[in-house]
Amino acid sequence: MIARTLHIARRESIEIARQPILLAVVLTLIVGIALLGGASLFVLDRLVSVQGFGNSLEIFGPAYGLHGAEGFAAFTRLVVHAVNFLVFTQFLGVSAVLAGHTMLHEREVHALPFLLLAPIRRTELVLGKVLGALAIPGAVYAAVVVVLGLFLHTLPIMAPVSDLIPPSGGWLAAFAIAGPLWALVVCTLCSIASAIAPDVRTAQQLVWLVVTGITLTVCYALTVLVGAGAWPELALAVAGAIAFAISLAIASATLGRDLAR
Amino acid sequence: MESLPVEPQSLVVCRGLGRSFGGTAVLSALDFTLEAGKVLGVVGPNGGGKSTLLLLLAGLLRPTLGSVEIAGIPAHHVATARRGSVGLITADHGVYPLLTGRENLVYFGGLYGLAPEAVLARARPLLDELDLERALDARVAHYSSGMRQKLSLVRATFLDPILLLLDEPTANLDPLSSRSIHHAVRQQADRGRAVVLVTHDLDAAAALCDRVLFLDGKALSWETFTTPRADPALSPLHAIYEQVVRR
Repeated sequence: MIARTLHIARRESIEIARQPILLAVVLTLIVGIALLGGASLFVLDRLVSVQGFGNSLEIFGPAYGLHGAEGFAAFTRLVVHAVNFLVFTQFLGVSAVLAGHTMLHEREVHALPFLLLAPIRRTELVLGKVLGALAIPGAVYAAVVVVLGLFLHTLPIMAPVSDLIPPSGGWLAAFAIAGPLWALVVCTLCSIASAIAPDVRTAQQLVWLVVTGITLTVCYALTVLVGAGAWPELALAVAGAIAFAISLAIASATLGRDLAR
Repeated sequence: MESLPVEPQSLVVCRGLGRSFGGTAVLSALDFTLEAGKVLGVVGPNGGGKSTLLLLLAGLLRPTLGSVEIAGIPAHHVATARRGSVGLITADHGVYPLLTGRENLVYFGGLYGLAPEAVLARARPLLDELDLERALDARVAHYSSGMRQKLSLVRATFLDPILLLLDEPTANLDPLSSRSIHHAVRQQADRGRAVVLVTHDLDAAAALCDRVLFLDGKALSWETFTTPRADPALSPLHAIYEQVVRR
């Protein structure tokens, strides 16, 4: 099963890799947002040395009963949360859009009957396509967060908020365990959208529904719980694993043997 | 990979076969059998159920009435591991344009558990015959329609299926490409495969088929050729077509 699933995923990834414009957009979105986040924190770090800048953040701190360094750390914390949220959202959003085109693509090139004739299980087909859609954005995301994490560790302002960036336990549980599981859920749902949509426009709207409804909720939950440590994130991971099993079963049932369905 | 047992007689058996879409019957009360090594032509007007019949034979549609059996097994019940015994060719080719011809063959072969070397070894004779070997490393996006259809034919046959289903395999092809496809199809039948050829090309049907079914939702008429590959000019198919389809 694994060999056939990876065989399908590989073909999906090759096709994505051979579309330069698509690839450029994927890279721009994930790398661009990460660069923006890194640059924001870098600028903030430099501004700390500017006389009186730290005090200007008192506007933010007192609202939470925080003053001086505490207020500044709270502000930095908010920025890091935003960076974690935005970078992961891009990865998930880009993957969702790619997954939302997988079955449509098969219909566009009229290859679906040949896949359904082959001795492969529907689960293998869906999972292969989902993994194929996730492979390139996932690799880019992984590379970006490693580089960004290493860079952020060099910034003195990050010391009080190191629990929010890799390799903290909360971050790893959120974005290395729960995140990928929820990415599988989102991409499987989008592949269902791709299978049931009669045309590209409908598929796009369904994918947008998934992105808005699930992706943003998941990213928000993963982000806000990072500081709470690994356990809440692991609970989210378990929920993600269950949701993935359910969505995969639905996807396999949706892609019935009867082409008219 | 386990293959379906090859029966010398009646490889395909359709009994009272029917299929409806949303309450509208596209195909009804169809009975026929097809033996190994024979080519059955299916002709008829657009919307007459020809492609539906092919999908029913492939097991990709379930009958709403009657049954269709391939070597004694209901087409839509053929277990996952036993598929591969049916080769399909459609007018739309169904190949991936961003992959090369070789990658396409290796991909589809891989779905059947075949290693790349095994796929190419099986495909090579027909690739040579169809003069496609040289273009194998070019992306399919750069192939002509004829080349894509030849690739599709190679894909349909390298698994050594016992039944070949062809849905307008020469639609939009030039005469030379059509001829080479037709020649290859007849050869497949001569090697013992049962072939169902859906076509609008009555001359091709006369030249290739052992039997022709005129279909318009139901079987209108049958024409059997005692001598396959009859001279198309002497074929009565055009006259029969006018007669039965306009009836």
